[in-house]
Amino acid sequence: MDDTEESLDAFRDEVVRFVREHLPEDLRQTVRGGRQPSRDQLLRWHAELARVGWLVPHWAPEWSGQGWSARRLLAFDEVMCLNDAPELNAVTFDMIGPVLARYGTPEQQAAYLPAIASGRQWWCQGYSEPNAGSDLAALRTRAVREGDHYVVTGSKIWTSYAQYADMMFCLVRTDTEVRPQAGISFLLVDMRSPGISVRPIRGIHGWEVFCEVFLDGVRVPVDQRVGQENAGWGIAKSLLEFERLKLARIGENKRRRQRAMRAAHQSGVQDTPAFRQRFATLQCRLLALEAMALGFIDRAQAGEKIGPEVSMLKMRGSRLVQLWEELIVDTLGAEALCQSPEAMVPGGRGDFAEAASSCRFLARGYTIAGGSTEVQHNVLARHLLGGRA
Amino acid sequence: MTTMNAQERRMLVDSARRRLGDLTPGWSSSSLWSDHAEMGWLALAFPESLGGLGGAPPDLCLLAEEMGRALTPDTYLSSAVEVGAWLRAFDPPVSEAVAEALVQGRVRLATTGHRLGQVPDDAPPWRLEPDGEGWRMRGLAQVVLPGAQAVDALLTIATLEGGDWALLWLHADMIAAVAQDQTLMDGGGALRVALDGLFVPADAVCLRWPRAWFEPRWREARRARVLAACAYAVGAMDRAREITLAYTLERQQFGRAIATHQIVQHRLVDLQVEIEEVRALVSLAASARDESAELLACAALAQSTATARHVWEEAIQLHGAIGMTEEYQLGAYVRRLALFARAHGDEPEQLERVARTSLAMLAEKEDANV
Repeated sequence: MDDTEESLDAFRDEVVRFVREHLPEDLRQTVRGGRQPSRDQLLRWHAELARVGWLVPHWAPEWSGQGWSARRLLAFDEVMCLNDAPELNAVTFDMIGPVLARYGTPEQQAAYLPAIASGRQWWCQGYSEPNAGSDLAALRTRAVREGDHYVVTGSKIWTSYAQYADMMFCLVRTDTEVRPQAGISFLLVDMRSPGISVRPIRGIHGWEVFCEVFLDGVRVPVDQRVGQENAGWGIAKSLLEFERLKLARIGENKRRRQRAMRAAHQSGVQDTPAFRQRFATLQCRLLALEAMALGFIDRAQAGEKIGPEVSMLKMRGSRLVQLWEELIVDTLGAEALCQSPEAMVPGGRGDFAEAASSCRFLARGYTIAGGSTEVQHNVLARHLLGGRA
Repeated sequence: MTTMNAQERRMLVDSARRRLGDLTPGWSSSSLWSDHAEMGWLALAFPESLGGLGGAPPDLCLLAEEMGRALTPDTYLSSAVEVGAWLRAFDPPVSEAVAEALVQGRVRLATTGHRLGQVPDDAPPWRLEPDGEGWRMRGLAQVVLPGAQAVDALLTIATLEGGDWALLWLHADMIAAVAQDQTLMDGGGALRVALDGLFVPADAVCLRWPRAWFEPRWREARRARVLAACAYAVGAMDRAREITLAYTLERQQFGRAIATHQIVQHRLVDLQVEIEEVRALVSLAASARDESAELLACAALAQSTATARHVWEEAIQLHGAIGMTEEYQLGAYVRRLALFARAHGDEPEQLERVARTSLAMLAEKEDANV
């Protein structure tokens, strides 16, 4: 793939034209206003992207991917963010898709990959449990084999967008006698199965993102297991290796940067030293983060194996989103404290100041989900100390 | 300008690390300078038109980072990187003999660009007023130029009536009466010069061009030196971090190494991540060619300054009292980083420059005013 700056610029222009022309106006308004998109809005957008092959460009060509370079993917993501396209569900497109492409049986791949690539199917991730968060291997949801089915009983929590999901990939305990990591299997569960119930948990931001998922004797065919029985832990961990460069959230950070500038214009503080100093501090951090991500991309492209140090991207990128959100709220001042209940309705529209406080709370999840900042520190410390302490 | 390939870059870093590692401790400035010449590092900084190798900013940054690790004096930044960048940018007439002596380290110059305590201005802080057979310099009273002691000549830029800028080549004897050696807080040397009121003979003006010609070249040269200074600081930060890591692995308290404590580990990780980030930014800025070059250079300086400050503070704290002693190896790094963190202007100035450069650019690009 030709990857010169010129070709990337031409590509950016192409993406800008596309998103301005095809992003549904109602969804654009919802995202621009900082509101929660509805499932219906998102599925319509998925279909638009799928039509031109841009829903899963990072997948292998045999599964409708584009085989784009990492730089091209980054440019794509950035243009989408800066033009008010919604963040796409990483669980569906960046996690389960690549996992099935690598570990799935041909039947599983045929059943799910085209459905995901067409944008029709939504997945959620059944990992955390009430007593298994950062210590995920402590999970207790039990799957007992009965003939050619598993019978699954237990509960999951913090399952994002389970209320939107058609399917859930799920870690379950299939052996209680061995060390915790060695008794876990990876199952694909149809959310319409009898015995499943979902309870959305309303957050302090007013959005319904997190859910509890209860599984009461849910029958899952054995052929819906990915990998061998009790080999689920390795698959769960490998999932974190996909799309790790995305964890820097460069595009999402630029979206916030743009919003911070809008907020400053709206409140007329763009020329005050207080705003400019904070803006510049975050801008420096963003440029540094981007430089570091590009460095990793270049190393990966040169064939170097990238180790756990890529955790740096997740750690810095997630924190930086929070800092932008704080700046936005502070910049809007009193306006950010006024919030009508309508601002919380999925698919709603309106001025983004009204939803700024929500977005700020929502961003707190970034340093908790997907390996908390503390876990990332531990990973990096192990790497840094190399067994010396 | 030539840019090295990956293998050449690795060789440059390896040979620099070996050589500079051998040199420490106990070098003298003059022996170090001839050693730099022998290693080809002076040639690397000077343009090909003068018999140098015309090294590109990313390569000079690599070398500067190694010098920062070894904590060599500032002289390479002032007398090689900055002077080389000026000579390349302005291409003043230089005799073959002088060019050869420069590359071989027998003649040493400095510029007024690499001066303490100021963000480089948007225009030179001096003007020339006609005075008899020559000119009289007016403007900024004094400057302190790190690493510029005992130079053979000082290069500076001044403005003229009517909008022209001039490049001045001030021989050591012209400034002898207004220059004196100055010691810095890290133990390094500098030259203090009082240029306001200096008489400049007509033949010291070696170039004169309209501002529009001068300014972009001047900015580019400034970027090259600022980024090399940042790279030098990154090297010093990373070495300070390594010294700190090694110490925490060794130091026993409560019957175990202090590096076994999670709070110490996490702080060591933060230092590593911050240094990794700023190194990436400096390197990206050094290779930037387009309109983003100025923004990236401003951001690299602001980020290096903030990180240097955090690193030296943490390095002391993680060491405990030993980190505050003159005799322990960390002290020299702390002092150098503290010097760097104020040498290029204060953080509010640096950040305002970033705000100014980026807000205008982003407003245009990202339609952010809507």
